[in-house]
Amino acid sequence: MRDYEVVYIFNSELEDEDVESRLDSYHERLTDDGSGEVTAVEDWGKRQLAYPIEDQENGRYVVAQFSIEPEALDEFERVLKLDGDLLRHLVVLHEGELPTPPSARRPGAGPDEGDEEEEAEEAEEETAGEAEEPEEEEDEEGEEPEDESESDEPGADEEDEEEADGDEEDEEEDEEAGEEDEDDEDEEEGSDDDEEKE
Amino acid sequence: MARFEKTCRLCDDGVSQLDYKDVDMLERFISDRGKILPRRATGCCSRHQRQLSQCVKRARYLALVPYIKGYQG
Repeated sequence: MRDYEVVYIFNSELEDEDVESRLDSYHERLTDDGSGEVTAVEDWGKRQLAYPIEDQENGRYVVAQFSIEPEALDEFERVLKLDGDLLRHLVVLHEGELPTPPSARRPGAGPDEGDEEEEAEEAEEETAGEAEEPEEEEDEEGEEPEDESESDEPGADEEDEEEADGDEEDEEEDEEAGEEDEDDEDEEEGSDDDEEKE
Repeated sequence: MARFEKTCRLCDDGVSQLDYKDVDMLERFISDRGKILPRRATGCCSRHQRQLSQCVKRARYLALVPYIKGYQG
């Protein structure tokens, strides 16, 4: 028995009932012939595809987690391949991996359900870096007033806090690791330009 | 001081396992043309860089991120 995760991309024109009945029939096969078990189903709703698949610009994403004997996977995937309205699917081992982060389904604005604890965890992780680092910076300023930031005494703290989100590394590592920072900036600028062209 | 060393951002954030469905996270590691950024640009440790590469490839297959960005016919 192993844990897997499957992502389905359905034709976005399918009705909710159609999607549900398809999911039911897939998952029935998992649970019917053996000790398989579906542990979680999560509907991301409609979402724009990064590139057209079968001339479709949008897809209906559904993620499910299940455990099943590895031998039964072939049959499961065979069934998936027969469905013309399933644009694409991906089955991956899901052992020790974190569940869906909130950012994944935001663009689709799909229904939010399930995996609430885990979402919270992910959210923490996402923000952790940004939230913690400004504090560090303040500490360091206190310890080492002779750092390059010594010149801006009075308003320094406020400014730093505002900029802390993106620039904290830049300020600290300007001299030593300017290379990396420049790279980052270039990329950002580049992508902005790109979007404007389009 | 240790802060001058390049450290893996993902290690610093305590990420143990990357998620191929986390588009916002992956976007930070692909170029403006959709390429996976090299280790020298991401600063990732080898473990996370390998995971990253695997995750981006899965996300591409699922049309969560493009294979090529900004390509016009």
